[in-house]
Amino acid sequence: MDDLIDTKRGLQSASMFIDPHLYEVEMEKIFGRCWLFLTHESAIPNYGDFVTAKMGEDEVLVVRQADGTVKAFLNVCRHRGARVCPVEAGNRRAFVCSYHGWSYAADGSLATVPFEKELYGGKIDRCAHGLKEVAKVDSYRGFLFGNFDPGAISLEDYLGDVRWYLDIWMEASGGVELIGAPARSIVHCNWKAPTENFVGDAYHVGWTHASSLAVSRSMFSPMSGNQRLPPAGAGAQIATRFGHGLGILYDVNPGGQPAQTAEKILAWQATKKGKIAEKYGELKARFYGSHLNGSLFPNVSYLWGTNTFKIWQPRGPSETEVWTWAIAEKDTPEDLKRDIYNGVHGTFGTAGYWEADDNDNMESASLLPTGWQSRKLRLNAQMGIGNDTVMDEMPGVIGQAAIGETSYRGYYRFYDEILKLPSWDAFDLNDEGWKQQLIDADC
Amino acid sequence: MENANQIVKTMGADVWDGDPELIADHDLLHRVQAFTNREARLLDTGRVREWLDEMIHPDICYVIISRQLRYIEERRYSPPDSVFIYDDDHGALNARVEQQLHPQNWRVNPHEAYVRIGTNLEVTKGSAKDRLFVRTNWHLRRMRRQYEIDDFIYSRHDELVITPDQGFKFVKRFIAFPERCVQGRNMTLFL
Ligand code: FES
Ligand SMILES: [Fe+2]
Repeated sequence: MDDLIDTKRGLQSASMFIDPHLYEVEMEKIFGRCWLFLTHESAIPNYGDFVTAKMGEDEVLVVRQADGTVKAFLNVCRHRGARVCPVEAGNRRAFVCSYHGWSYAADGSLATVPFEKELYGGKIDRCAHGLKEVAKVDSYRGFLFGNFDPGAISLEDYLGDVRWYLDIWMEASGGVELIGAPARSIVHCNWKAPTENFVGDAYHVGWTHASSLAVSRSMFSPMSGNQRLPPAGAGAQIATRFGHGLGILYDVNPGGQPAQTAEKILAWQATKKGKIAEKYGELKARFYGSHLNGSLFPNVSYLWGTNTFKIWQPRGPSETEVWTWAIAEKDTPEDLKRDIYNGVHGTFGTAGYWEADDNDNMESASLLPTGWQSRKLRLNAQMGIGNDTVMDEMPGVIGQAAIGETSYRGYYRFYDEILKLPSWDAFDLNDEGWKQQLIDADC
Repeated sequence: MENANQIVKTMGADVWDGDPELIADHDLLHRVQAFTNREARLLDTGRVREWLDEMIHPDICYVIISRQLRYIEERRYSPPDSVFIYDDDHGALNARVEQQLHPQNWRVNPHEAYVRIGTNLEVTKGSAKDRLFVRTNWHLRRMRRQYEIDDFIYSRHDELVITPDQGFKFVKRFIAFPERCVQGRNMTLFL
């Protein structure tokens, strides 16, 4: 594992996409200890509302409690381990297992056991057989996350510097929601392949998506077929301590939306920008009107502007289930919301043509390292290496170009750190050394 | 956003919830069958431009939804249970056709191969005099690159407009895709 990630030189071993042993370690050290996205608060507003979600390969039930808080439990019956809840969303005061009929209350406690007196004779310890609770659940601006590790740092600390950027669309916008139920499909790739792409790959857009750009008549269309680079100063890339990263293309927020929808979004945003500038400053107002692509470590991705929110759920080293939602500002007029929704599902949903463009790259990059020799290759994320820096007005480590691989390097720097971290107790939140690691990196 | 049941109604597909009077006119049935067969042949052989221009009505409403799993007896939870995989008008379909045919669409070079197997044809009166509702079942297999095989199996609810020359055009297509989590990677092909 020592030569898996070379942060100093911006290289990663291709085996990270295929190694079954590493995958097990990831489940333990990453999915067992990092904050994982569960759902948006708006999906479960009332007592007893629930959704089922995935944390790594574990299925969980996320339930709104009587006191308004949210708890999450493994969706696994404590009797013989059958699935407790087979649906994706609903409202229940009790969850009844379909195997032998044990039932659990909304707070996860074991409520009833059929023929308890006759068959167990009082020998079953009910208190010890409640649904296994996820150690921590917390919410950031309406986005609910869970963490299996009771010793984990807080969600706020874990998001860290990236909060400043998330707040642009999660807060300054007036707040957002995820529209409706997610689209779900299976991609035959490692979970990191799409996540790293969204964290900071503006490079592939003009080429991978050449045909989609050509036909979409969007603000991004001139990039089709690599005919044009974004001009100097057109954007930036950001890496943060916990691997979360993003790329910004300035002033082209609805860049991926079809021209008609983009026009409406621009007009809508123009009505809000002045107030945002007043309250949050000019820079955030500018970023609100910019296109952001980003990932939250380990497996959430989003596009602000193309309004896509995705989670890449691991299903073994070579398979990933993707859930896709459309993001909309809460106060968006209903007809525009619908246009945005259609724009998202038409580009990045199950039948989205941008999504399909990406599939092949992610699948082949994940599959080819089954080859003994291919596995030994190093993957290169050196674009812009040596130019990363810090800036007063923007948190994190910054690559000052629209296209570069700064946030790839930041993502894998933390990936390496968390794999090697013995426990959260050994973690020093105030240590700023990670910045220097990225700044000092060079080929 | 709407619930799946509402979308089924809007698309006229609820006509198949009961037992509508089936059309028994063999000549008409034969022509409808020939029309759907031709569509499958055009789509199987990459003739998507002709498909769109010759077989699809300008007012086409092309909808594929996925339905979130809920308890049948659910009463207290009302957020919409549907996801629009497709909600395309003619312009959106046209963009998809252009993308398929674009020389820089790396996905379809080498060519993808498709076979559509259609069956269970039933035809009944449409929402207007010059229209027909058509229900069919399909197995669509996509084969691409060296090893990729993706299967799509579904019931399709179409509405046809009878054109003045006694031909047809598809004006509505509705599919409630039965796999909640689509195993076939992506659905950038016409069902
Ligand atoms: S496994 Fe659930 S009641 Fe027996
Ligand atoms: Fe992409």
